[in-house]
Amino acid sequence: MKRMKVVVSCLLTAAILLSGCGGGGAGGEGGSTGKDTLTVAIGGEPTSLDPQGSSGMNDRRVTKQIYDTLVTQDAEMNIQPGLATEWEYEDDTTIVFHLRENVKWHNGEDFTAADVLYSLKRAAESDYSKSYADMIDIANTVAVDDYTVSVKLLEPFAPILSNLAFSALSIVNEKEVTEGGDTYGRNPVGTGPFKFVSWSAGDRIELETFDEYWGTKPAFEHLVIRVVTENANRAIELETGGVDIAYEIQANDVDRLEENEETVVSRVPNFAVTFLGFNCDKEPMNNPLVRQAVAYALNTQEIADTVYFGIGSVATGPLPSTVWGYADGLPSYSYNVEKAKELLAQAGITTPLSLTLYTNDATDRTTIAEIVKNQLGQIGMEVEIQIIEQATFLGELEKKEEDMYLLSWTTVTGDADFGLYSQYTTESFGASGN
Amino acid sequence: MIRFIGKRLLMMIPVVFGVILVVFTMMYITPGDPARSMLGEAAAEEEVENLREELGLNDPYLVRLGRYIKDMILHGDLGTSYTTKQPVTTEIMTRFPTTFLLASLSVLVAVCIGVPTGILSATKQYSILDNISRVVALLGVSMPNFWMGLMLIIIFSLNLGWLPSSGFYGPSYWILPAVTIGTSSAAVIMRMTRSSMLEVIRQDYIRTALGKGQTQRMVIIKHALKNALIPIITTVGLQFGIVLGGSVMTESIFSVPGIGKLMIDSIKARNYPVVQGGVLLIAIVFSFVNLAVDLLYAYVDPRIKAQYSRKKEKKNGLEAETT
Repeated sequence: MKRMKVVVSCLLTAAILLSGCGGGGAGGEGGSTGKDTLTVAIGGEPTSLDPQGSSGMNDRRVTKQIYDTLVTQDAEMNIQPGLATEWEYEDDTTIVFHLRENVKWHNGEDFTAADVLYSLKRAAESDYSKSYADMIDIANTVAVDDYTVSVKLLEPFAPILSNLAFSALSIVNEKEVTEGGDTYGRNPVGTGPFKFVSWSAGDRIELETFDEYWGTKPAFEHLVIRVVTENANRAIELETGGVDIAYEIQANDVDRLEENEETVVSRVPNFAVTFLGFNCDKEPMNNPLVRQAVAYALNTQEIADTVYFGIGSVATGPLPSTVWGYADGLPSYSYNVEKAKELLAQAGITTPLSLTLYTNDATDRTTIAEIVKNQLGQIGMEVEIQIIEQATFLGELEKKEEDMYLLSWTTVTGDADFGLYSQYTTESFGASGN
Repeated sequence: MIRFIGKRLLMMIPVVFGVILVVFTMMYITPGDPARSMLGEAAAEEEVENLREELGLNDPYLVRLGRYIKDMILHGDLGTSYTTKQPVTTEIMTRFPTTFLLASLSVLVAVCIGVPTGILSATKQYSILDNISRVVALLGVSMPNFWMGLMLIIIFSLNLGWLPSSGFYGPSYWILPAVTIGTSSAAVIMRMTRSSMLEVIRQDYIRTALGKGQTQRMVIIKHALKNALIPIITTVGLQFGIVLGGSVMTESIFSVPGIGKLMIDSIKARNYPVVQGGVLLIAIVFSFVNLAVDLLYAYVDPRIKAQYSRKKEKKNGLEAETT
């Protein structure tokens, strides 16, 4: 591990809002009684509704409604049955899944073990989903009968169930995928609670309840997912009744919505950690004393308060508290400018010391960068901020010319493996901040 | 006249090729990797490399440019979007009508506000009305669209609850975005109308018309405005072109599924085929708008019409002499 990181801030809240339901005066679609359409605003347009054909967060928000996975996770991230009702470990590398019977695809066909085999194979071959399925030994994964699948692993791999619950490993229908070809991502077919109806480019995706869904049926007939890219406008749409639920509410809108009697703000901790990373290939950051000095010089609580209006909390390690394996009470660096100065002197560094800090162009990151610059200024570090557009940001980091960088990592599967493996192992060295 | 139109249409061919060359080259030299954008942070370098190879991104510049032009000329194919895997023509054409409608409405708003206030300002030069119009116009030009858009949303959607704040589903949804873009264009048109009218109403024939006992209103509408129209039409045409390609901010704020929003998303994702196709379409439409403006000149001003025809006559004459 050649790059080390100091975690400065852990964000919580991907706030979800619910508007005052029922016949409220705020308007909205569906009339005052018997509301049968739920309208949800997301922050960006999905690129594809093929779970193995895209990697975006907004794509996953929609595919989650259309497809099922073998197993699922509840609100506490415990593994629960999905398309598999039961499973047992035959040995360390073999899991036998017993599949749910009488499950229908949206096209009317029956769901069987063949669909699972096809989906896992497809997931392991697709560049978009490979990283979640690369532990599965596809050649030796077999269907025992129509409703039993024996999944073989290349080596013992504890987080396999968390990976199988992630939407990249959603079960797809071979016939539909093959017939759909390049347009499959625009005409998805799953076994989930909602089936796909239409997609108006740049505007909305419409789904409707699947009558033959095996689980609890939704309380409304239609689900409309609207693309509202402007952050402030998602909150306003909610307040004016244009949508019922809005994702990604910005920190500065939260207070206003919490005061509004017709809206409910649901604060849900997410799996993201934003951190300040060091380039340990270069002087002076290859010196642990300098890195420690930076850690002591940063007032992370102030960053959380200023940038995220107190929403979210300061992280003590690379994993957020929501992830399995998170350790409470880890020792962390306290804010201590004198100690930081001492460490710098001990490292033989003469100030002023010029350093570069790379960040992408997201507003919260650039604000963090400004605060970091000011705080490090107190110990004689002159930080030059370089704001780089997201499309080129990761490529620039791979060149390793910076001294420090701001990045965020999300443990999407909810298992510590996903948050740690790609960031701290030699095999993953070189990419995405490792 | 037909000859003139034909000539102008032929002149569009080098324009189109010029645009392709410039946009293609600019996208080529812009740093950023579409494959990395598509696969996300979690993908391994090897997976990104596979996709890069599959998309033909590792080929040299000339090979990629040649392939693009060949597909376009031989098959009318502008490529496939990297992100949605849809043909670029489909992607663009589903969005273009929205942008075209928004641009037309905005220009309509701009003309309805800009031309009358411009005329009033000119006829009542240095009056309070003129000063107010000029200050408002200055504000209109200086106010950024995103700020104006947000203010309109806060006032008309959030506080008054009269109009929806996002989407583009019907007339009530069109008003705010069209007014946002329209006001800044209105300011430009107002200033042009004012200066052009001021020039015309000082001419002798206006004084003559007034001296003949015509009402001021008739003189302004019949004699002055028609002659002042040429620069106004030019400005309106230019504004239409600017709005077509430049309504990005407004489309974003009001979640209008138009071409501007598509272009911004595509530029961010380095979705080269969509960016190229979009710019190409805007360039072609802009050329057509310019042609329409030139044809309007002939309609408004008989002297220009005569000029177009004279060229033809002259040419015919020369041909007759040589044969």
